Amino acid sequence: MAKIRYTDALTLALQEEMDRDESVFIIGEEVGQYLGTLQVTKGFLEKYGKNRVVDTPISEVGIIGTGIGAAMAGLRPVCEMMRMDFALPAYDQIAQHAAKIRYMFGGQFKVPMVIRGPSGVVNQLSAQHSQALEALFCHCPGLKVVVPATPADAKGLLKSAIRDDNPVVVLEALKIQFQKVDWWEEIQEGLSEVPDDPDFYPELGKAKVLREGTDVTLVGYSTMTTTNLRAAKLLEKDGISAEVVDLRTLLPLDMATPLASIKKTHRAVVVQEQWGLYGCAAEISAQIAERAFYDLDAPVQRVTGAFVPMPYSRALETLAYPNENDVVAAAKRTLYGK
Amino acid sequence: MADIILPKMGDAMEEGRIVQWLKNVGDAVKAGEPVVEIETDKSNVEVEAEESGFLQKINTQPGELAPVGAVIAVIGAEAPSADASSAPAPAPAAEAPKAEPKAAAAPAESGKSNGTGPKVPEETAPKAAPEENPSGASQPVMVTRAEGWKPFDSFVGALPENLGGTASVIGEPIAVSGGSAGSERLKATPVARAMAQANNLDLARLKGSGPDGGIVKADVEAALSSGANFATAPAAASTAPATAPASSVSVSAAEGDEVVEYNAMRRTIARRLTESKQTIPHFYVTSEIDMQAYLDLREQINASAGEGQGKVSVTDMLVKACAVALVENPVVNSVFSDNTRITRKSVNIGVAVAIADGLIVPVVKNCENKSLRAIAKETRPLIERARENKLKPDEYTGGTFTISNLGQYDVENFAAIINPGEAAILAVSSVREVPAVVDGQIVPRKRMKVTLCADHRVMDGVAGAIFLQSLKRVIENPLQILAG
Repeated sequence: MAKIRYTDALTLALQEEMDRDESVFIIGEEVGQYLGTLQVTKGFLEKYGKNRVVDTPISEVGIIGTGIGAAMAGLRPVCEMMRMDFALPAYDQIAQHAAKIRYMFGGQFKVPMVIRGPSGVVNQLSAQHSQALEALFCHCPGLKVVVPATPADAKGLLKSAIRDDNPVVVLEALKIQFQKVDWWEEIQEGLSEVPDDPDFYPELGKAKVLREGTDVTLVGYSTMTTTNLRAAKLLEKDGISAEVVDLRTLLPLDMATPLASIKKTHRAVVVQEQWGLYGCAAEISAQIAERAFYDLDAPVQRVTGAFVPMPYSRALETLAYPNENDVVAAAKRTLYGK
Repeated sequence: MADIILPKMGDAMEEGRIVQWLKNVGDAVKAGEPVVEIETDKSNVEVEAEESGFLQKINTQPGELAPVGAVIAVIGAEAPSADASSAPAPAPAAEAPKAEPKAAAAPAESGKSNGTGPKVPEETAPKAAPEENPSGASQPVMVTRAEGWKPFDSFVGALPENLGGTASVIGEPIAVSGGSAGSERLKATPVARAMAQANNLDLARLKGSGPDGGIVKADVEAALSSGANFATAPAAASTAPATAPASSVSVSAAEGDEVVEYNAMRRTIARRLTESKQTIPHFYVTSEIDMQAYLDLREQINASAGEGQGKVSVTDMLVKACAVALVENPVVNSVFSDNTRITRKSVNIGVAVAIADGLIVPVVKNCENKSLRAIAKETRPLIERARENKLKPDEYTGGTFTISNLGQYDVENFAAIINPGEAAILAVSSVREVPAVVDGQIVPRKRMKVTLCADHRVMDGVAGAIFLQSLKRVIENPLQILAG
């Protein structure tokens, strides 16, 4: 076990998979000569050459379209989006083609590709570069959507995504990507630990309990899982024992793990940074209501981002973005103000 | 006053270096005019003044690094004083918070802070707060949510008002019109309902601690552990001996013991009678009644009954005898409730009937107005249906007095437990031939002991004794039964 940063875990995952499988290649804007906008592919061009580290013009449609064709022809492309917001010009390629080709061709073709890139709200990048768009991808049958919250999952789940025979969207948590090891360890001991085993690639669609508790279940993913862990610490000071469930992937969605937790705690808070209206937390809350109604002792609470284009102003951004105090307040609402 | 803040020029940019100041402290600057040149990882960039005024202070000198968001200089409306301009550059972190808010001038001394900075007054949040809150990257963001500020999860379905929409709030109750006023549905959470059902608790009898008095899991747990009676289900009455308590004392079974899971009726009996015995102060008065005349009369009635007229049982006569005595002693036909005594207008007498693994108490209503024959006619099918477990709810509820008769089992005397909702129960034992003193002679007589078990909150011992005197008089002079 090594203790590393989230961003280094991503680099390791790409390296290990490119070393293991020659059909894996990287394609995107500034992935080669510029070393990657966030330097995830630093040194890759030198090591793997320009046939496997492909710099493209500024055309996401081209990147994804090339990826789909390569995947259909037997390669395993990893398409980097400089930010996931930029996947929107290629949304047609993703939703209409990548997601549906296997179905439309009756299984004669498969599309083993990865679309990865930084996602989520980040300091003052404003409305067009600071948003969480996972719901858009979750609304496409045929895709898998991976939302790693920890360095271990950043490495493991990205590797699983590369090995998967379907198009997988990997949404990387930019907000916490560059946090140092100490930051992770302060939230929870061992949180920055990443298995060294190059064949560690967890099954997609398995949620995980990161912290056990008895009074309320905090369900989240990506950055919000670390927010939930911090909220759990605050709740502990008030004598409330919170269980933290990290979903890890949104498609496939593992509801068994959160439901088992809720059967125990009888209370649920679902946390996401994206907009609440029609968001992933809405789906999760609905499933809780449908499948655990008689176990609930309080209405399911959602903690989400405000339904506004993300403001540039730091102060407004803070107001629009969920933090651990909001999670604490929601948890206390389920306990009727305890 | 306006701060010049080190801007973020790219995703990865954390800090920037000052290349040179294009203005000196004291210089007039116009909005839009370049003030400082900054070096980023990609290029050098000029930063413009956002407001016109005078450059009052420079916090970061050429060549120095500052974090993104740090206040590197301040522009004011007036030229700085001499000493300010000559002062050396202070540390940005120490200086930043001093920058004055404009509109939200008092970042709320009132109200509690969550510890991340000054407070935004409620009425101005979130509209006015942000701009006025200077923020340096080296400090926590200077914004907290004021008391009453709807959390960020508030805005669903529409933009907030300040952005032209109407806010609605997740989780806030939404008033829905319709539904009849006064028909209040019992509020309880799903898990509370499920637990109450599993434990046969009547939620209506619990006190809710949730919102609007709703019953939550903790309330059900408290009720279960209190051992008090919150059972559902209709009347089941009492006969001695008392059944097992409903409370939480649990006993483990030894090997070979038979363990019988209680059905709803047995659980109800357990709960209700525990409640009765624990909450009603019982007292007991026993009297011995000579039965010869009573039995003779019954024989006469049945011997001379016409075609199709059913027989009159010992119990039928007892019901009517009690009705007569109760009319004479209305206090016994009462019930205690909240420091009041409610005396019932009608005399509704329940007759405890043993059935397979339980008992039930069919009630003969308005006995004071019915003849013995009418009572007999009504009682027989009631008891039959009770044995077949086919009573309708209104046939076993509404009693005002109960008779429990163990006469068939050669019982000398016993005591019973009051059926909750009533003031007394009469425990009737066997008619036995016993030596009795009549006119100074010991002679064999048919005698029966009855014990009145009464609620001391409703009546005292004397009232109970007087009732038994009445009953004894009626039974020993049984024409009173016919006359009543």
